[in-house]
Amino acid sequence: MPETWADTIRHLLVFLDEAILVYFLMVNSFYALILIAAAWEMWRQARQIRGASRHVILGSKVTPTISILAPAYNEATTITESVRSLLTLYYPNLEVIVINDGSKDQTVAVLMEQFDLIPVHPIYSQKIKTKAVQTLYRSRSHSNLVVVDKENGGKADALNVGLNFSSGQLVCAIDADTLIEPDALLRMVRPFLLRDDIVAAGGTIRAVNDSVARGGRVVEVRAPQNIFAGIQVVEYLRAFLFGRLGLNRLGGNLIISGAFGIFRRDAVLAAGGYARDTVGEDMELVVRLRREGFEQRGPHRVEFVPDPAAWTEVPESRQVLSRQRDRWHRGLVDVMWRHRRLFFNPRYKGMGLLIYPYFFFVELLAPVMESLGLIGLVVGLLAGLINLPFAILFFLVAYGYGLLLSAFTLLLEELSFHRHESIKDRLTLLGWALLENLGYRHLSVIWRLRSMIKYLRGRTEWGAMTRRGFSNPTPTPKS
Amino acid sequence: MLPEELATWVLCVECAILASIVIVFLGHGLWLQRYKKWSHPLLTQAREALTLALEDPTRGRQLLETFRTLPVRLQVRLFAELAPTLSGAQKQWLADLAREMCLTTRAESRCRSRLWWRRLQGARLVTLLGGRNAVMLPLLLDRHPYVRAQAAEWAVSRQDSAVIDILLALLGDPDGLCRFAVQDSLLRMGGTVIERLTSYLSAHSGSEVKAALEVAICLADPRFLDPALTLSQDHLPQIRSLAATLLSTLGGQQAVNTLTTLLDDPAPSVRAAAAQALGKLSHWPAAPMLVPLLRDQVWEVRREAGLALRALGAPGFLFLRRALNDTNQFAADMARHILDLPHQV
Repeated sequence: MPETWADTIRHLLVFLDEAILVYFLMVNSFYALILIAAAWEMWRQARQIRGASRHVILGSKVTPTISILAPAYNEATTITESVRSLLTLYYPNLEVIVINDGSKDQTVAVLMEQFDLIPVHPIYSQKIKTKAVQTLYRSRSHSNLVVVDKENGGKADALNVGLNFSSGQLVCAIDADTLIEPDALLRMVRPFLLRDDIVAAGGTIRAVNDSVARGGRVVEVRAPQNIFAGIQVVEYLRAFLFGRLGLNRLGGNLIISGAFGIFRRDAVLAAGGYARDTVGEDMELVVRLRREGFEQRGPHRVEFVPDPAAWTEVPESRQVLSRQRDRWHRGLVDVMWRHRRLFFNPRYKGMGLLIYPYFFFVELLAPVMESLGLIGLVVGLLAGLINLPFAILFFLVAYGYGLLLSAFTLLLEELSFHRHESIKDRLTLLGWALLENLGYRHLSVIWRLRSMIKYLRGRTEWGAMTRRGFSNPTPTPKS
Repeated sequence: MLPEELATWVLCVECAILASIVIVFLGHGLWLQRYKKWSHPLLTQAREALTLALEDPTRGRQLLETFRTLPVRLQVRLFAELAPTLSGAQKQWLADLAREMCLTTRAESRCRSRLWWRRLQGARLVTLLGGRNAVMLPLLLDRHPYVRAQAAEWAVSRQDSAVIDILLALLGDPDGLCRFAVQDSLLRMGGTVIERLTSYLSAHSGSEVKAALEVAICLADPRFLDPALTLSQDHLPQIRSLAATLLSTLGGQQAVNTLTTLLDDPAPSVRAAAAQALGKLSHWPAAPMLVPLLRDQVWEVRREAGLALRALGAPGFLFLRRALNDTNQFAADMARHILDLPHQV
């Protein structure tokens, strides 16, 4: 008997759901691999640093110099605190370069007043082409502080200007509103001391919302009460302690957060600095550095160090968060497209055969697969094409496993760093991990799908971010 | 279509794993809170007793009973807290106490473990508490870089020639962390390493001496003059630059003459280092020779020449002001930039 249209659609739908279930099973198996790798790596790194004295690096005359690059755009309210915290980091050879990216507020005026800046003739070696530098300032009170005032050109352009002015062997790219732990640089420099083939190293970024910050330092860590911020705490922990740490072991990372990462300056300059025509400049630079390292048989290792932490304020409103995720995903799509040559290319070893395909199939395609699976599931259930046990199994594989991963990450954090002191905070975090799968994840799928459409339409806007600031945290009662 | 049992089975497994994770997560949190509550007063008491005992070692032994009752982990923690802040007789007293309490023996036995992380832990403890050469010397040649680096840190307290020779040999270690630790240890040893380091510098060349030159620069002893003069002719620009920097810490007519020659070196990094060195030596007769470098093709050389002229004081400023009207725009710009810099920079 000939197959009717209805039969064909029915078969297709069932096939789609089964295919997506298999996709999730494969993704989850890979996650399990990353999980084991992350736990192993955490164990190894914990053994390496346990009881180690950081005074050796702090007091040594042969420590590599680090230039911190802090791009600032309309940061007048927070810039003083941020720069002061940078200048007081525990590191012997430090240079702080603040790049004012054409702010429309009083950022430069505030800096001039607070740090006794005087303008100097703005000449420098333009190793990377950038927008024009308007004024260069040096501080009379802090000899290691340089402030560059330039035309607005975006974060990548500002970082490139910073690279042109920097003199350190290593450069540390941060967001001006990031709070870095005082000894974070001492920990982050370790991979560069350990191996000669490291081009970049990243540390953990944590959400500061509702924690108490004083004098540019986080003094008390608390779990956020806002749902979006709370879920992001779990997300960040999962991304850093589980994802990046695990990938460290499996073939190296492709991402170092733009909020806190250290790079070998000569390697970045040789690679031409940050790409200005992408919204994922941090990831793009790391992929390019690694790729060129492989192609030229030079250094290409990227390390993730879990213990140094930088704190950033994560969005608490749906609109701002959606803009941020939209930008991140467009950045990911763009980087994947630019470096498509890596895809299953054995020339790039683990990066080409494992890490790039992971980012493509898991990070990039996840929203597409997840939305297709959900739609297929709902339609299939309504049409009676799939049974309830299948639907339950689908949810267990897609979401139940996600919950397990989040819970395991919280456990990893608890056993290694245990930053959240109170039991109430621990319970709150567990609650956020549970809630993540009940709506938030679906919102995230929509945002990321939208960003893919935007990318295909060629839109490249950055998206405005609003922040509450560190100075006035909302105090919550301690348990 | 799938059997109902499969979904139930997966659900049960996931629930069981989740429940175990939650129990360990919360259980660890609770245990940690209780442990802190329990250990904090004990630690405070023991810390006070130990501090008092350090002040008056004769009376101190009686005070140490609280310390002896602590679990080993907390004892080690207190030793780790105190040891880096002590020196001389007090440090020796602490080391004796550790030996008396068998902590040193425990640490030394860990140094012989087959597991690298136990050896590392042992080496860290021996560095803090003191230990025998026979245990630590083999660790300088351990197969794990972290252990080698830790042994190098320990070596600071053992300034005999055998240890120094091993450290110098480790300057060429393929592992960066180990090299760093060795450099740091040699620097902390100070004067005792000068002679052997001089011999090392005289006997080696090229990339082999890079790490040793970096140490020599920080130690700045006149005995390095001859090897520095020789290495200033090395085939590698990086070594010539470092030799120039070393010469800047030594001074003297021979050094100045060599540095003046290096101002014409084909490698920009060497020219920059030579200019910087002459500035550091405040050798004002070199001012006219630095001026042409303000017109150099390479930015770093121009900048170092400008800074060197500034470091020369009045004669240098005179040349910088003249350079403001230089027909070469690069030279004029650099002079302007240098003259604008605040004194502190």
